Formats: sequence, C-alpha cells, structure tokens
Amino acid sequence: MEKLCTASGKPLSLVGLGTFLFQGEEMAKNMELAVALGYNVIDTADDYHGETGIGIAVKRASFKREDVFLQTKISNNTAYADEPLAGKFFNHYTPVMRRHTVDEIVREKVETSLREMQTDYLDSVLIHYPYPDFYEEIWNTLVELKKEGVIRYIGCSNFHIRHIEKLKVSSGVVPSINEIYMSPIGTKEEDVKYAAENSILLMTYSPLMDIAINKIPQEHFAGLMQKYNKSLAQIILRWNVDRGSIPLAKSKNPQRLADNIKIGDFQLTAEEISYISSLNRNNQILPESKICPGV
Amino acid sequence: MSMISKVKRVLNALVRRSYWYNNVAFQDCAKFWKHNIFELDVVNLGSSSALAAFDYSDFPRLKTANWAMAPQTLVGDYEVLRNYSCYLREGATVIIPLCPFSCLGGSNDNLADKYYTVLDIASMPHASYVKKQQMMDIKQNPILYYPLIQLFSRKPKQKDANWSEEELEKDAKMRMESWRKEFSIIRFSDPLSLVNKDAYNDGQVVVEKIIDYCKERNLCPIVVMPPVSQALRQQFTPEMKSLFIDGFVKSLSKKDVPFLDHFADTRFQNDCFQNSFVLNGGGARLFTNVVLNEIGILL
Repeated sequence: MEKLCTASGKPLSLVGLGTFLFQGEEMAKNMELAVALGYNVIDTADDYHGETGIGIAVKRASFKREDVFLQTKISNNTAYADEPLAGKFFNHYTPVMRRHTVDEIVREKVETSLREMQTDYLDSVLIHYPYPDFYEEIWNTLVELKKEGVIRYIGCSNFHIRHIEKLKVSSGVVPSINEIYMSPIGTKEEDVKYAAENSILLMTYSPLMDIAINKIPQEHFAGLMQKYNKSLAQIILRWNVDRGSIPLAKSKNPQRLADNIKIGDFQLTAEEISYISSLNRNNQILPESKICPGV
Repeated sequence: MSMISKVKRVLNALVRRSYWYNNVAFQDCAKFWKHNIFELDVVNLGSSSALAAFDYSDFPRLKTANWAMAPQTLVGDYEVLRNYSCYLREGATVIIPLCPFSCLGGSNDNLADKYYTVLDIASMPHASYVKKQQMMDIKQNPILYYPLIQLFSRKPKQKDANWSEEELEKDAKMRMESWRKEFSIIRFSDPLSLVNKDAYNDGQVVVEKIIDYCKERNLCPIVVMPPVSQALRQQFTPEMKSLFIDGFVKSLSKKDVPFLDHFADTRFQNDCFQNSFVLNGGGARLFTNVVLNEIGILL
C-alpha cells in the first residue's frame, strides 16, 4: 500500500482530528492544541464551515504547514441548514448546474478551500458523497488538480465499492483514501478487504460516536481495557488502527484529545481484533441516502 | 420560556395530533419522519392501493416498511427509494406495486408539497426553496396554519361494513369515470392520445429506473399488481387490460423481474375490500401473506 505522508515526509498520525462544526477561533485553537499533542491529520469539509478557522491556525504558524496533512471535501452545498443554497451543486435541477460545468464548480471549491485555509496546496481532497451522475466528473477534475500539483492525494468519502469501481474503470485512477463510518458494531468487512486489496487508506469518521450514544456493548471490552490499562475509546481507536485505518476522532475536551492519541504504546492481537469485530451488526450511523439521494 | 411560547408549544402539539395535520397536510409523512430502522428485509412502494394492500403485522420477525403514500406516482416511488434505500439490507426485497392506470399517471413528476418534508430537495423535480420553507414551517408550527373550519368539520368515516354488490358496482363506475377524466380519455376503447402515449412510455422508463436502481444495489425488485374487486375488474375489457396493464408490464420482461399479477385474483372476494379498488385490513393481511409466500420469503 502507498504510504501516505505529510509534505515534509512525516508519517500520518495514528489518529486524525475530526472537526465537524468547529468554526473560527474555536477551530483554530482546537487544531493548534491537537497538533501540539501529536495529531498531524486534520479532516474538514467545505460544508463544515471550519476551513477559515484552520486558516487562522495555519497563519499563526505554531507548527510547520508541511508537517500537517490538511484534508477537505467537495460537497453538494456549502449552506447552513436554513439557507436556500442547500443542494445547489451536483443537482440536475438547479440553474447553477445549467450555467456551469462540474469542472468549473470543483475548481472554484478547491480555490475557496485554499484561500480559506491560507495554503497553496491541499494534502488531500475527497468527494464528500458519491453524488449520482456527477461523481465521475468531479473525480476527473480532482485527477487533473492532482496532476497540476494543487492537491497531493485525492480520494472519496462515503463511497461504496461499486462507486470506486466505476472511478477505476472511467479514469484508471484509484482513490488514495476512502473516508467511511466504521465501528465494532458496523465493521464494514468488505470495505476493509477491498481497501487493502486496492491500496486505499480508510479513514473512519465518528469512530467514538457509538460510545457517546451508548450503542457499544461495553461489557465486552472490560477485559481488554484492564489488560492494556486503556479506556474504551482508546481500545476502539486502536482497533481502527490495527485494521489499517486512521480514525478521525473529535473532541473539545483537551484531556480526551490527549487520551485519544495515546494509543501508540499497545497493539491488539489478531484474536482481539476478531473478537471486537464479532460484535458487528451492520450498524449504520448516517442515513446516507437521505443526505445524498441515490447514493 | 415565556407563557406565549409555552401556549404555542402546547397548541402545536395538539394540532400535530389532528386529522388535518396527519391526513390532509402531511398524509403518510410521519412514518418517514420517524424512520430509523436499518437493515429492512422487505419494503413496498406504491400509491393508495398499495398503501392499503400491504400490512406486515403478521410477520413480526421480518423487518418491513410500507413506503407507499396516497397518492404517489412512480416518480414519487423512485425518489422515495433513492432517499430511503440506505435503510435496506443487502438483498432486501423491494415490491413495486402498480395500479390499473400507473401506465398513464406514473410518470407525473409534480410531487405534492408534503414531499418537501420527506425528500431531500435535490430529489424534487420542480423544487422551490420558498415552498420548502413554507412546508417546513407548517410542519414545525402548524398552529399558525391550522384551518379553523376543521374544528367544525367531521373527519370522513371509513365504511366498516361490507359493501353490497350494487354499492361496489356504483363505486367502480365512479372510479372509472374519474380515471377517464383524469387522463382526458373520451372512450377507453380509443387509441391512446399523444400525451398519454408519452406518459405511457415515460412510465415504463421510470419503472425500469427503479428496477435498475435496485439491481445496482443488490436489492430484489418485484413488480406486483394488487387485486381489485370483481366490480372494478368487470369494467376492464380484455383489450383494456391488455393495453393498460399487460402491455405496460411487457416491456419489463427484458429486465428479468418477476411480475405478480393479482389483478383478477379470485381469492379476494368482496369482503376483502373497503371499496371497489382498495383492500381492507383483512384483505391486506391475506394479500401480504400471498405475496411474501410467492416471493419465497415465508418459505
């Protein structure tokens, strides 16, 4: 598998920083703290409205830009929930799509991300969802932008195997990253296997959400927590890492932020990974097709 | 919270229980608003007749959902499926019910305003953001829109008792007359008008899109025609049945999808219907059992 790294050649941190809904100064401070703690993967999206905050942190330069891996996503809108911009892009029915090409829109979005994050290159840009009828065209532009040196890695998010297969066939370029939900109760075995076979790095969003909403059967983890002297969150993050993925954990709490990255001092055995994976019940956290109809 | 806000909250809660809210403004929408069951085994799409024809309460072990809405065109079926397919397990069965005149009305893409509360706006063919905001406001603050006349109107009573032969015949004739006018048909024996030919072809395309969508996602589509009463059946000459139902479905044979034609299923006698067109509770349970057996889910 291609080893992804920062522009300065540093390996990616075991855990990345999720930033959903962090904005402005709060985003900037959260990122600075995270980088100081050892995170170097920062995941955002154009519709999280956090890129400007990341730009503030980049400009303050408490870290070297080339040492962090900035990842954003191309979405079908950049609207706040109550704005009439929702669903404007990659939608056959809207005037903007009749007036502009997908290439124009994607390039404008990438330009905006560069400007807001105050950087002249992006480490990674993903297609947020496989927008039906559009994702192949979006991909083609991302491939071009990568060739132009604007983006270092290109990938996708919430893509199923059939979507990636289409990209492979139409462009011959395999995404470097697929960002999906993965949890001990939603193990996505096929996606993990497919990613390994195709040298795709899985990044996993909301890796700890099922703990927060009490869906994880905690009693199954007591032995492992005791054996490694780690919290449930740390065991689950390590399970993600040991399956070859980078979990993108988010926290406002500095202590949790620090705890989440302290998982480099232990490793789960193959039996322990299988044991945790056996809790699978195909749980899904987001109603994907409601967010991206026809996904 | 101020007293006014508290009163508004209580009144909104009361209106949300009203007949107007649940059966007029947002008929059949609440099941989608509350939908949170993943890994469904069987769902059905469809319009009024399908809404009444499927009742899965006898099969608690199966994860099921009735996604029909009254009324719903095939375009509505397609968009509901595109918005809610993440709730289906791999290999789930998707029942695509047809009505006798789906061939002419199915391709109508003017979805009712209530769909703004059920579908992503990207799925609404003629979306208006203003209309969406209005509908969301009605949903959230219904007290501001509740028609006071509703306080004095009685909700329509469902006829409980079995209909007599004469009543069913009268109802069947009335329905045929409504359909005739809806589709601007002078005589059912006439050749299809240009507009209806287009609708017919477009309807076939929509059904094909639903089938393709299912197959791409490893779902199992099944096309089903629910039964109608004998009184309504008799209104259809063999030529009409051949044109409006068999001919419409014939083009689907290339898709290799089973078609379960229960239009003339004599197991469904008058006591199974709430009117000449739509099954009643008992009829729905029987029909659901028959269909699930036929597609092998209960074997």
